[in-house]
Amino acid sequence: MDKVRKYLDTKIEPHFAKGGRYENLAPIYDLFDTIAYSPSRVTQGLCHLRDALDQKRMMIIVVMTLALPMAIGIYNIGYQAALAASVASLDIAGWRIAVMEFLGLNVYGSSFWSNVVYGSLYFMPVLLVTLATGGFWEVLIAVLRKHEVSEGFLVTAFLIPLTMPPTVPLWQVVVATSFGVVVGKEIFGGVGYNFLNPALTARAYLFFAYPAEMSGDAVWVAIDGYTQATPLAVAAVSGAAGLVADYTWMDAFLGFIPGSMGEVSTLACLAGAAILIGTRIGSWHVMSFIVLGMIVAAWFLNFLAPYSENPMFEISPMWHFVLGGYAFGLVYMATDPVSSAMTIKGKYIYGALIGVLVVFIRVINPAFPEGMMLAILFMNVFAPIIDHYVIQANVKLRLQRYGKRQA
Amino acid sequence: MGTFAIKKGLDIPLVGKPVAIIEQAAAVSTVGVVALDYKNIKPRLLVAENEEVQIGTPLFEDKVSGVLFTAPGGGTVKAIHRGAKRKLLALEIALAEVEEHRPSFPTLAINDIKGLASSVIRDRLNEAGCWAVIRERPFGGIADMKATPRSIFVTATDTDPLGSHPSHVIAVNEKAFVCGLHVLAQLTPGYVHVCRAKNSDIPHAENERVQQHVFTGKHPAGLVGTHIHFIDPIATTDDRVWHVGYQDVIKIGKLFLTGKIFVERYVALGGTEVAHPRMLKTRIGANLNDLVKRELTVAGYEAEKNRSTLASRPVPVKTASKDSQASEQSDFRIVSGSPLAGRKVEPGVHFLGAYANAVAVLKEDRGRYFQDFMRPGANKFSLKAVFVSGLFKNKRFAIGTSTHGSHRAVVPIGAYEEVLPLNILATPLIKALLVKDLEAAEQLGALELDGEDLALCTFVCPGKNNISDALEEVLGALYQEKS
Repeated sequence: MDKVRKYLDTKIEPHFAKGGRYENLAPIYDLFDTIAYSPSRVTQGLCHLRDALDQKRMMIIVVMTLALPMAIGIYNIGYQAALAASVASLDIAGWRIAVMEFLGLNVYGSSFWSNVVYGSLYFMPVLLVTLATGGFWEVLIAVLRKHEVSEGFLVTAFLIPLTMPPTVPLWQVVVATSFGVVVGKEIFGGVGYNFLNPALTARAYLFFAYPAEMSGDAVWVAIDGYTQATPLAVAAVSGAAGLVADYTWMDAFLGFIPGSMGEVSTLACLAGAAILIGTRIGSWHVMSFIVLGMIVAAWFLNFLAPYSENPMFEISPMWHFVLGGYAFGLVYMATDPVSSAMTIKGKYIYGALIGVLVVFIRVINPAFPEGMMLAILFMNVFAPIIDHYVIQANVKLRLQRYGKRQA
Repeated sequence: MGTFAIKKGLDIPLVGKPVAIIEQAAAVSTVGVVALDYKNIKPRLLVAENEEVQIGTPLFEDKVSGVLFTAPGGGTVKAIHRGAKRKLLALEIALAEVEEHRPSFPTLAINDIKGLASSVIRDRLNEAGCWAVIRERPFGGIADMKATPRSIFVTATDTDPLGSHPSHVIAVNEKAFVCGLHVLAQLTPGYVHVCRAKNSDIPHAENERVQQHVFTGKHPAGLVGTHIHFIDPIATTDDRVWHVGYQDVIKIGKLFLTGKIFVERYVALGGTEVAHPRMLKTRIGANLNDLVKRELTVAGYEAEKNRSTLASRPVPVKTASKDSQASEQSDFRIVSGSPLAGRKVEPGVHFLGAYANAVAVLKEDRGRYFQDFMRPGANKFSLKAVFVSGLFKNKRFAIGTSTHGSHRAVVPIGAYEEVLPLNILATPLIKALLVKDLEAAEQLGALELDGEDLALCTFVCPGKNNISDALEEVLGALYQEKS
């Protein structure tokens, strides 16, 4: 291993150093170099020691916590397709079927492996396209701006596919990822300077630009031409009674319902939350207050249900918790440290308002059955204002302290 | 007279924590006065190279305030070390066999002190070169000789990861310490706040304006910035409190009790590369290369041999470029003061710092480790529970000087808030500091702080930002704006 390192240091690195042949491509070399080996930098200035946690470690831990929602999501794509195929006995064709047949797997069968393979054939292309598109932009911008490639995109690249419906066209993934990375993040200066969550920006872009492929009843099960409403859409039409008729709460909690690729399993998201809170990388302040806000808002609307024609009013917090993107957004989207409020008091307000807003959008807004994405993006925009007032209160306190002494 | 429990903070479990034994250090051949250690001064030299000096001979003075800096040893001026743009770094004195004290001051008993006028005390302290031991907040520079502080803080506790043992040092200099407190009480109409750790025996001064406070808990419970924040916080540039370290109180006390300048200094020598981490009795401005030479572990000793061949070359003019630093590669780093907020020992400034109570010898860790960020990390320390090492509760870590990662923009995951116990909004302040937003930084409490107060924030920053240095820079700019 030392020989490889020595070779890199003496033969390769000089070309990318200042004055070298490929000086301009230094960010690309640095990207692979620092993924392979820890950097050799030593501390400068007053503080001579540093914590061993860096952003690479931080981001890789977040990505690892995404493994469980991803695994259950992939299985569920196949599971939902098999379920639909067995009910409607549809004729399915396409390259994925060819692959399945080549592997000797039965699409209509509900074996574990056929579900996993079928799900992967939908999920993996989206993930690869996201990684390639986003990676292209990240590297291009790093080279143009002459800074290092930040690992923040790694998390975004896993989040984007997980929020997409399984049938999303790949060209739309390219467009959405480009929008999310460039407009959502890079034009503001990159990771650490953006005010919107890039993954949600990408999703919101598709949601409004191509609603046919991102919403409605035809996109949630990975079979062409098969329509099935998500539980949230069912609830919007026929309320709690219709919901219970079609789905069990436990199915929704475990993740065996139609929905976006990674958001279905509340259990998996909670496991991710446990790791993020355990390692203290994710903010429990935000998460707990989103839950609190949601419960209060849902109870409030439950209380008003008898006076309303809208069947959504009667959906209990228990159901809100397991449906749609609530759990996924709660654990992975709202807690994005850059786009959420940065003061602790601000985080409480930010979280609580997301919780309230998601219920209000789901229940009262007639256009969108799903509210988590919009609630988080909306509060992303408001996070700096919340912080501003928290900061002003702190500044005032300092001045008061001074004034009191002068008196 | 309160007890303050500091809950937030971090005690970094470093290998090589000095034990509470005081031993005589090896003799040093030279001593130095490091001008760099004094903030916001414009030094004017009063001696030339090869001139003979005695203990107490003025070496240089601050052009603006007239504060004198005197020789901490008798002998000849061996070198005047200068940096870029001929900036004065330090004066080095080769010690004579027999050292003489230059001026002799009248000796006083403790009871006489209360009769002394503030102006008499100020003059005497300055004449002896002892004024510079008193520092001021805001800005952390030397106290303004013409001003009257609201109160004076004495730090008689040390929670640094490789910190000293104040009660042991004070115990052998008890009378001088008490005398020093009486002297300080004459300088302010307010209180002298003596801050100590729980269960530490710090002598009381029979003076109604000297109060003791107890600070318990994690680092930074022992930093004066924390004490000021909880006892008598400052809010604007017109606010003014002074603070003095426990050894400097002893120095002041000795000056009045014996009439002589006290040149001894106790330091906690610690760190991974030190064979027997303990307290050493050495002298003010001690040559740290001499001090450390026989104290290193075997590995450190081998490294030192290679290093001394480097050091014997002519002193290069220090430049800011990275290349020159990279070429001066050595395997370990001597730090004057705390490893969290100390000065790296480099040619020309290889002396014990003016306010330092500790010397740390750390491993210079430039290693490139394969797939490092994916490893379980049984030997890596982090505030956050992101390594296997987090499972071992009482493990101590040999942390080197590696940054453990590349520089990135601030991604606030709550690490700053976990280690800053003050009522200061850490993330907004740090962002203001890093973009040099002077106004916002001032409003958010930068004036209360000094580099060492944000050292833990610097330590835990996953983006590897130099927050303490950014604070110093902002404070410097704010000071310029004010004057």
